[in-house]
Amino acid sequence: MCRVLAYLGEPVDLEALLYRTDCSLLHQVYEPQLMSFLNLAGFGMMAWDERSVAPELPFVYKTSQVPVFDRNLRSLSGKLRPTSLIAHIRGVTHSDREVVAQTNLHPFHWGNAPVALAQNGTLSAFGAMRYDLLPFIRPEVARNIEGTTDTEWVYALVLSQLPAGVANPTLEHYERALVGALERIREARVRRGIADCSGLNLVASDGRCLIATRFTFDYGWYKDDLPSPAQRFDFVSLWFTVGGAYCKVDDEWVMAGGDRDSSLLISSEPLTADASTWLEVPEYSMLTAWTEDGGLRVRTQDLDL
Amino acid sequence: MTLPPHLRERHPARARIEAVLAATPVFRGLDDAELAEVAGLAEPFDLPAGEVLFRQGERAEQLYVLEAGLMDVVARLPGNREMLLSRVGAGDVLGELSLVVGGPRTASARAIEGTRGLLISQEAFSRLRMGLRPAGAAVMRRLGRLVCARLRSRAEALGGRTAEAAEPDALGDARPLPPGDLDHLARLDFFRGFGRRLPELASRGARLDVERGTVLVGAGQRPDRFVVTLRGAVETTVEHGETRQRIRLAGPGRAPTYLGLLDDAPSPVACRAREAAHLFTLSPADFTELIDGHDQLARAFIDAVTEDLVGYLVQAERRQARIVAAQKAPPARTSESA
Repeated sequence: MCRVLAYLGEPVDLEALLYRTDCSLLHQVYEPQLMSFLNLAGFGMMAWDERSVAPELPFVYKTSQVPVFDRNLRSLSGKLRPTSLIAHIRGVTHSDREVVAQTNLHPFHWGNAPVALAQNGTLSAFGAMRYDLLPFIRPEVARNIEGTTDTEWVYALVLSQLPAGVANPTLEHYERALVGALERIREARVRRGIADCSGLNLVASDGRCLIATRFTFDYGWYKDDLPSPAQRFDFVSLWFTVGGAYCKVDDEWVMAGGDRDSSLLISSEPLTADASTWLEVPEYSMLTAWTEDGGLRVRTQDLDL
Repeated sequence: MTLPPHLRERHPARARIEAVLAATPVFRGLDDAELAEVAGLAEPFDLPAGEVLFRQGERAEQLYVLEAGLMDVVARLPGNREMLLSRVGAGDVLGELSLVVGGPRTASARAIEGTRGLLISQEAFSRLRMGLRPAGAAVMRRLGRLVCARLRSRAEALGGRTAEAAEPDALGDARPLPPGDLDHLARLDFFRGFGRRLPELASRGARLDVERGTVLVGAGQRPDRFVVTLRGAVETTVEHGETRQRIRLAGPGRAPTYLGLLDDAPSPVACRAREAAHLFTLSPADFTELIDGHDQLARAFIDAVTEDLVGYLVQAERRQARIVAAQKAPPARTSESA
């Protein structure tokens, strides 16, 4: 459930990412290719632009409505060319127990926090373990929690794993914070005897770097909630493509080449039905991208938690 | 893709078709009756130099047997780059996986010289399979072995080793499959095609429970059993030095131990439980008997193995593409086709 999209690199046509391709993010609201689910619980995005006023702060747009009907979003996306982005469409079970509200929309970013975060996946039995995480969340962070979604708690956990008092965390700080958050969740699951398959693909950005995990706790284990025969037992998907710039070449949107890599797109699923220029982020891994010496650097590491 | 009329050759004699088919790895070894059945499905094609036979991403609907000519098989990479997978000619087969799964093409094929040959559509081949014709099972069995050979080639291209054998862990005792597992089996991809014959298959197998980290097959070893994951996950890795590249994550309904079992040679990959796992296991003798068998249980087994192997190959090729893309160097050619 949910779909996430993230970008880092040259100024990019936001409307193309959200609308123009045959499997664009907004298309995935009603017709995702790699899962059978309607993602109807809202949309959120944070976009950074190095040329904007206060470039370290993201532009934020969120709506708890079904975003394909949102004329403002369509209009805005046609005017924006961000250099970094996290965008997310929220999918929840089709039940009256779910809370569809602004406070549950990703990405999460509080006040002066250095990083924003979105998630694709669900923590099984989160209600049972939620308060076991509290000792690992700093009080000044915990008091920002407003909503009911597991992601907001994961975000609070990630912020609390960052070294206190450091205004500009390094890549390694971010990586350790994400891994630390996953470890705390793993411990809480063990303590509560939770061993159901729970995908947790996280995407974090501060506008200058992008870090994504493709990770599932207890992959392949289903107790009370077996997937239906029509569903798959697949690992939660995450794809990426890297190159010079995301643009239209010969009538198709692709990551075009260049002298060196300078742009990266990460997405729950390829943005085009022809996925031939997209690569899978490996399972149980963390992908980190940053700019350095005018180019883009990417590394992946195994998450053996 | 259906070839336009001007690229279709006038229908050649049936004897020539059978001779061309018999010379290819997929159809070699079929008896006369089986070969005649397959030949009845084949249509000729003729492609000038420079023309594209199929493009990556297109829906795969035909297998092509090359009788003469030369073609390049290339996979696209991000950033306008390409990975040359192979150069193929007379006697080679392209797109054979499309007979099993109709997903998107994983590579493009372009004629370097004028090329002619035969095509067989997935639709026609499906009719053969659905009719439970012997030729359908025979071709599926051949396809399984071909995919296995290609997997071995991919693993070795990524540095998989067979020279030094690494010992697997001592595994606990397998036990009869609990009756409650039958319902679970029926929901998993590997077992969906067995229908009423699933209890018979289950009675020949056993269940083995392993802890996370258990090595089922060491690189350089031959697997001592066939395994399908029921719960949890088993990863298949190519290992060289300190690095370990995963080429398959076999979650529920997927099998990790084909290499070394289906092709009777040391495995170039290691298999390790990435999560604690419940496994369905078959002895090598039962595996071989089913693969070589002709009854309905054997046919369902051959179909399940071949379809799963194709998924394994697709996953391994994606891994290879990612590794080549990360290297940013001119990709190495491999000796097999896409």
